[in-house]
Parts: sequence; C-alpha cells; structure tokens
Amino acid sequence: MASVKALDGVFGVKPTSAGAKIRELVYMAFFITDHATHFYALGGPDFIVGPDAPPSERNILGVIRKVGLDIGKQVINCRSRNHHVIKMLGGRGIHPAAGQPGGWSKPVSEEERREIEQIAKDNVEFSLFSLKAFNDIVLKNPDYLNLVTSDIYLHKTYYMGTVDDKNRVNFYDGMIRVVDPEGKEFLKYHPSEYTTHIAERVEPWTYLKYPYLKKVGWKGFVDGIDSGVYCATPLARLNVSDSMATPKAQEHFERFFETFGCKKINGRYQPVHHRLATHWARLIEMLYASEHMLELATDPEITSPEVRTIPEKIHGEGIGCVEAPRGTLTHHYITDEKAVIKKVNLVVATTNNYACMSMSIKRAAEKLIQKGKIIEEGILNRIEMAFRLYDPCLSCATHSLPGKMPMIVNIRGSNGEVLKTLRRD
Amino acid sequence: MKKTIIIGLGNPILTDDSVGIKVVRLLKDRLSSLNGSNGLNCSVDVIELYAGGIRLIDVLAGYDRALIVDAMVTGDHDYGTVRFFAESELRNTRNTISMHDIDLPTALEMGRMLGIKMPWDITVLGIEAKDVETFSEDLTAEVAKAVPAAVAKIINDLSNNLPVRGQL
Repeated sequence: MASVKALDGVFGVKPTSAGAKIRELVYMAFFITDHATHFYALGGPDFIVGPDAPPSERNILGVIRKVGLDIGKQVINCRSRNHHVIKMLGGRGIHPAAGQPGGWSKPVSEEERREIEQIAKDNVEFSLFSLKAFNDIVLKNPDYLNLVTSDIYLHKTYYMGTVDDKNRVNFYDGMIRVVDPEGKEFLKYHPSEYTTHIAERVEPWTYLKYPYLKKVGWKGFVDGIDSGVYCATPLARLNVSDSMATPKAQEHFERFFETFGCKKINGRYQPVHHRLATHWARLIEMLYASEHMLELATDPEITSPEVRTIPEKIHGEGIGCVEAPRGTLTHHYITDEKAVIKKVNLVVATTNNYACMSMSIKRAAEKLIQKGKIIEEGILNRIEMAFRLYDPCLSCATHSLPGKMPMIVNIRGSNGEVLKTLRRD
Repeated sequence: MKKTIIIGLGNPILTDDSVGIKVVRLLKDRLSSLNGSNGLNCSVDVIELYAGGIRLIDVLAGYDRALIVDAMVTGDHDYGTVRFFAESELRNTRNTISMHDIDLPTALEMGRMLGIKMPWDITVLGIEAKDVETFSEDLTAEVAKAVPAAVAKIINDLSNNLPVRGQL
C-alpha cells in the first residue's frame, strides 16, 4: 500500500475518492488478518499459555487447548474471510496486484459489497470477542497483569504514528505525529517531509539501520526526552492519538489508558510506556479496523465506477507512507523520465523500532540478572518477549528448513568473561 | 479416487526461494501435455502459494495426499540437492518464534484438532537453495538443474500411485 501511494507521487496523480476508499477497505482486511495472527499465533501465547510454559506448548495449539476449540475455528475463519476480501478486490490473497497509480484497477460490485459488509460485521464480533478473551485471561489474572504493568519492559521514549485531521488513529493516510515521553506533541509533519525529521544511524555490527529523531539527535541506546529514539508500534499509535475514529474502539481506548492510570492533559491521555501493552493495543486496533471496514463497506461511494485517475505525466519522485501493522512504513522512489526507478529508500515498520527492541532486550537482561543472581527459569522466553511484542518475525526465515531461530544468551562476569551460555538451537 | 494436492511454496522474486514455484509451474506444463494419457490414478491439483502458516490449513483441507515443494537452507547439502521429508520428520522443527506465521506441523495439528480433514499422507520436497536473499525471478544455475529431475520424479511416482518420496 505504501508502494502504490509512492507511485501516486511518481506519476503526480491523486487517487479518486472511490479508489482511495477501496484501497483502505483492502487494507483494513489485511490489518485484521495480520493483527489476529500476531496476537493468537505469535505474541499472545506468552500471556494465554503463560510466559514460563515450554515452547512446545507456547503456541497457538496451547491457546486452543486453554481457551477452547472455538477460538481456533474463529481465528481460521477470520483469516480466511479477510484473505477472501483481499483476493476478491486485489486479485490475490497474498501480494494483491490491483493497486495502480491514481487508484485501483477495478470497482466493487454491489454483490461484493454486500458480502464484505457481512464479513466486516463478523470482524467486529471477532474483535470484541478477542478483547473479552484478553480481559478474562490476562487482565483478570494478577500475575499476568503484573507482568504487563511491571517495569521489565518499560521505556519512556518518543512515539510516532499517523493521525487524521482530528488527531485520531489512521492506518492509510494523514500526518505523522510524534509525542515526547510526557505526551506533548513534539512534531507533526507530512510524510513527504520525513527526511527533515528522521535520520538513520548505521552501526558496523548490524545491517539494519537505527532511525532516530534528527531534532533530538542520537544519544545511544537510551530512553528519555534527550534521546532521539522513538517507538512506532500499535502502542505508539494509541499514544500519539487524541482518540479513535470509531465508537467501540474508542471505549476500549479509554479503558486502556485508564487501566494504566494515565491522566488526560490537553485532551489527550499521557502515554503508556509499558511495552507489553502493545499486545492489548493491537487488539484495540483490530476492533478499529473492523469497525472502519464496516463503515467503508456501507459507504455509498464504495461501488462507484470512478476508481482511478489516469496519470498524464511523470513527476519522477514519490513518497508513500502508511501505518503497517508493526509501525510506520515509508517508501521513497526517485525515477527517470520514463518512470524507471533509480533510487529507493524504505523505512520499514520494524526498522523504526530497532533501537527500542535492542533496549528492551537489554532491560530484560538487567532485570533478570542482578547482583550475581541469575534467574534462569524462563530467561530465554522473557528475552524473546522483549522483541516479540514489536515484531515476531524479525529474521523472516519463513521458508527455510529446519525453521529454527537459534537463540544464545551469554552471561558474563564483571570482567566480560563468559560464565554461562544458555541456548536453544 | 484419491485427491492429491501439490503446492509450490515460496517467494517468486527471491532467487532460489522460488524453486517450489518453478517446480509446480513445470509440473503443470508436463501434466497438461500428458493429459488423458498419463495414466494417473489420482486427481491432482497443482497450486502456487506465496505464504504458508495457517493459510495451509485452508489449502490442504479435504485432500487425501499432499506434496509441498519448497526451498530449504540446511547448509548440509550441495546446492540443488533434493530431499523428501515425511510429516513425521518435520515434528522437531516446531517453532513459532521467528515466523510470520505458524509452521507446517503446527498448522496440520491445528487443523486436525479443529476437526478439519487434513491429508493423511504429507510429503515435503525440499531443494537446497544457494541464494534466498537476492531479488531475482531466476534460479541459480545449480538449483535450476534440480527442477526437471524433481518434476520427473513427481510424475513417475504419481503415475505409479506411489507416495512421492525417496532420493533423487
């Protein structure tokens, strides 16, 4: 979606209203499948099955055993019906191919619209069910609630997210808003100005870059108002927004901040800094996406045949930006006079959070290894949880056998010598 | 008649990661040219898939047998080596940590747990990849050589109503 928005810029064309709404409709379906997968199959097992459960149980099968067979069927149905929408409108369930500069390649028929409307209603019910499950299993369990609200995964950083003209969460379009650790608006800019505000630090020991706020500067892997490290996640999106754009999501948005005791300042809640709350924020976003999908599916303009503005020129540069499930995603293309791409820069969602992920891993280690005492029980998982809340598939080795993610923890003495190695190969 | 599905899995623009897709494309061509005279004793559907995980449950539902063709990166074999894995051999790969999604054994177990009919005979055909990081729609030379042999083996075994296994 960021790519096709960048192509709008390359060809100097504005999508038709219906074309933009169809894009957004497809994008909501995608968001719902991705958030459902992240919560139920990848991140959620930490809570639902338990952070100390063995890996063989800490997966979606463990979730089904604990919550019941119905949840498994609901997850499959949710993914299936939303991939169906993506395929129906985008040509393919994975990697849809209907986005074009200026809009979308085909209109939505009335028959398709009716089917999508029902799917969106089912999504709203599924999202409410998921939030209730989170409430019953996590929030009502003192141990899990303590884990979420503890300081193990707490960082007071800047936050970034896209907001609409009323400063509400928006996944498809809007202005980039950055708030400081106290919750004050620090920046608000159009995505096309990203190079003015964001710099990317390169370290010699990793191929992934560390974006940071230029105006504050890179001060290393530290949080606080003097460090340019920022976070762009579902939690960040809620933190930068005044409210949600749909009524049921708004109710949960308010409950979310009030649970953490956040006060309202100038009409906006103070930010939540507990990073494990990202999973809860993800479910609130899934509810917003479902409600907004229903709004779009019942918008009279969604079946308009005016799905595309035909480009008439080549501008040669485009910047497309959306909120991807894991964070703000920016595509920047520069082309020649034939629109052949000559230069590309991508600031991928997870990349924004690389410094935060590194800090969360360090913080987990500091909390689990103290004064000569090493808490070995569950240490591997608790360190994994530190980055899984941001992105569970960092290595993206999805198709390679044997499908393992080796993890090695070296515990060092005060002189740097390795005292013990814990590993899972 | 037994229903069989053959799935080519991979990313079509990541060099050797697309080898599963290349195999099923060639297989489709060969099967269509043999249509009516191949003597296959089963009904075969051949599809390309760009992502695994939970989506595999939908795709596999209702079939008796399944063959999943994919790239593998073990570092233990020469590039282009073809290996067959029975479902039981995949059990020790279960890991949900670094994935976009759940893995194959978990997907199968999840489907069965939910009462969805999953194939009783599942084979993964893995082809050792050389490069799964460079953007390209072409295979490396070593891996490309494995494609016709893998397709011939699949057709031969299907023709003889055998599970597609063994070594090349």
